[in-house]
Amino acid sequence: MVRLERLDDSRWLIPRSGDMRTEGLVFADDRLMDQLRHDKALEQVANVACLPGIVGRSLAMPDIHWGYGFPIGGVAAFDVEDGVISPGGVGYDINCGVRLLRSDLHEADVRGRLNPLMDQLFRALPSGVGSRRTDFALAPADLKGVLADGASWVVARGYGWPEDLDAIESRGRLAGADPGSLSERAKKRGRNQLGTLGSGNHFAEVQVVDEVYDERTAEAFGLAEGNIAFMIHCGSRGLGYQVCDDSLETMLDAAAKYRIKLPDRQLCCAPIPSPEGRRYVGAMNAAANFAFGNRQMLAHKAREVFARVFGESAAANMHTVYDVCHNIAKFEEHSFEGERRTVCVHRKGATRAFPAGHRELPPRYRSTGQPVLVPGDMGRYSFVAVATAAGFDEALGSSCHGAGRMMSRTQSRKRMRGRDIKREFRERGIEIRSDRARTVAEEVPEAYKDVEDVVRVVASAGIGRPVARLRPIGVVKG
Amino acid sequence: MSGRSTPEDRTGRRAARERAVERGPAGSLRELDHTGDVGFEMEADSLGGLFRLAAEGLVGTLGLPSASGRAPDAAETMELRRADLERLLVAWLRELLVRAQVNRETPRIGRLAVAPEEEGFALRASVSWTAGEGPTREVKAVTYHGLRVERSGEGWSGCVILDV
Repeated sequence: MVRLERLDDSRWLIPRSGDMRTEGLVFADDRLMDQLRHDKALEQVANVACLPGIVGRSLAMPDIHWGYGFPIGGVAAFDVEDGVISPGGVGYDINCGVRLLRSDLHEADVRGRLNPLMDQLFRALPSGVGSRRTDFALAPADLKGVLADGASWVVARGYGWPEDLDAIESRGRLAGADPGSLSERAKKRGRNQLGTLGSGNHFAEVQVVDEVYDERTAEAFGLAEGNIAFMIHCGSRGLGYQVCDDSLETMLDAAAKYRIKLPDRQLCCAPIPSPEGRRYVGAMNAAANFAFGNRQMLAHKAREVFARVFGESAAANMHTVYDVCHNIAKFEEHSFEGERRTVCVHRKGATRAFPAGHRELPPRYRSTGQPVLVPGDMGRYSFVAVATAAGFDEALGSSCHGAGRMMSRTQSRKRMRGRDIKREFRERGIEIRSDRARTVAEEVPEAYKDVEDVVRVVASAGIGRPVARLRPIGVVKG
Repeated sequence: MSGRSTPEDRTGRRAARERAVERGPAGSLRELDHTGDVGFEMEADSLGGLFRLAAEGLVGTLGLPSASGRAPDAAETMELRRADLERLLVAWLRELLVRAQVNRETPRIGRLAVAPEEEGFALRASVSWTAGEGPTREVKAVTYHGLRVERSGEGWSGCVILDV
């Protein structure tokens, strides 16, 4: 049982004990903490604190839940010389993330054509298990291009606009990608999955800007109350899963080779400067670039659908608000006890949140701070927040990434048995498109924490500031 | 992973040697209630039985269509070697998972033996594959989190968590 000390209304400390090299810090209020006590997520925060070279605290965002290795919602920084890199701190779905497009369409413009819109989106954005595109597959040289150059490769081939790149974290390309380090199996899995959503909690949603909390920032983000937005949540698909799988085998051997004591095998890791560590960084960045390219392609395909249904001029205003990673390890500069250091920040189920003035932000967001996209569940709402300076200092420039599950998939299916969920949603004004009743039953709002609770803690802890709430009216699920 | 074996490894190998000849899929399979992912616990009277049950658990989680009554499209003998039983279990399930997802095939496990070797453990299984529509549920990976393969009384028990 992990010992907890309540620091204030939104912070809990896990004091050092056993093999922990540092403290844990969990952002949660009493209500979220009550939901956490029943699983192993807090233990996982403590496990991360045991890894060599950790700098600062082992952090958990308010949407923390039980994962494998790192908790989902876990953030930790490691010294670039003495620290480690762990595929378990990134996750299987490397650069799983969220993209948000805005539009000038109003809910009233869309309501009357919601069914044809959703039907066409469902066809244009392949979803479901092992979903693949039938209209094109990447030749080996093309795949290498995506792995090396990410979204910019996709845009250069006419799938999207050059301005999209300004609104993607790291401009949609992580430098240092090494496509040659990927296994043939990983490449095979990615060949026809560029531009696919996948399954599980991945989705594409037509949303309405339901409420604006910060007019000035919302305006800077291009969001106005009553307007339509489009959100995409997906990652690097089978290619990323395979990169992680392949790396874990190597890292298990590396952990033994470098005598790293592991509290959980899924935390297997290697020193960042080691050959194994460098190889993983190259492979991870390549998979991350594939994910950036994937969301770029999906955004382009969605715009094509909006153009067909509402006309070219409607689609021409669907600018990218932002595109964020929430499963990644990145090299960043942060301050620790007054000293600037370059560290490798692992974010597993956590969003990078850089504040106003940060040099990595595009000019359009340099005075506001970075948009933080927080998808909720398919029945209630999602949020757009903005990064804060306080969050940069205390949370390693990180914020929450979603609602976080609170019910297992099995429980959820049992609870939903006998219910016609699609019909229930239709009566509430939400059209769902999915081939799998099981996925829909597992993804119902009841299975998730209320993302509003999560965002409230983000705001009270000062690691983000809510800007707008988005309400779904159409959902594509895998 | 170092090649040095622990006392547990040696005990496991000795026990496995005694049970290298399979006696069928007797045992139990129980789904775990994991908040974020899907897991299951297995109990079997032999290591081979345990690995077979784990495969059944994976196939069930994937929601693969039944291949019974249909002639297989391909058959092979799979051979895997790893330094310890837990890594061998993950490697076994990963092979089945990737084939099922990438090629959209349903496996049927024939003879299956897990036996100790000088450098660890080896699995040898005859697997036939039937082409079909593939899984109805995505499983991203077989994780090492909470992974367990251990002696349990006269038999074996284990636990696997899948990232879904």
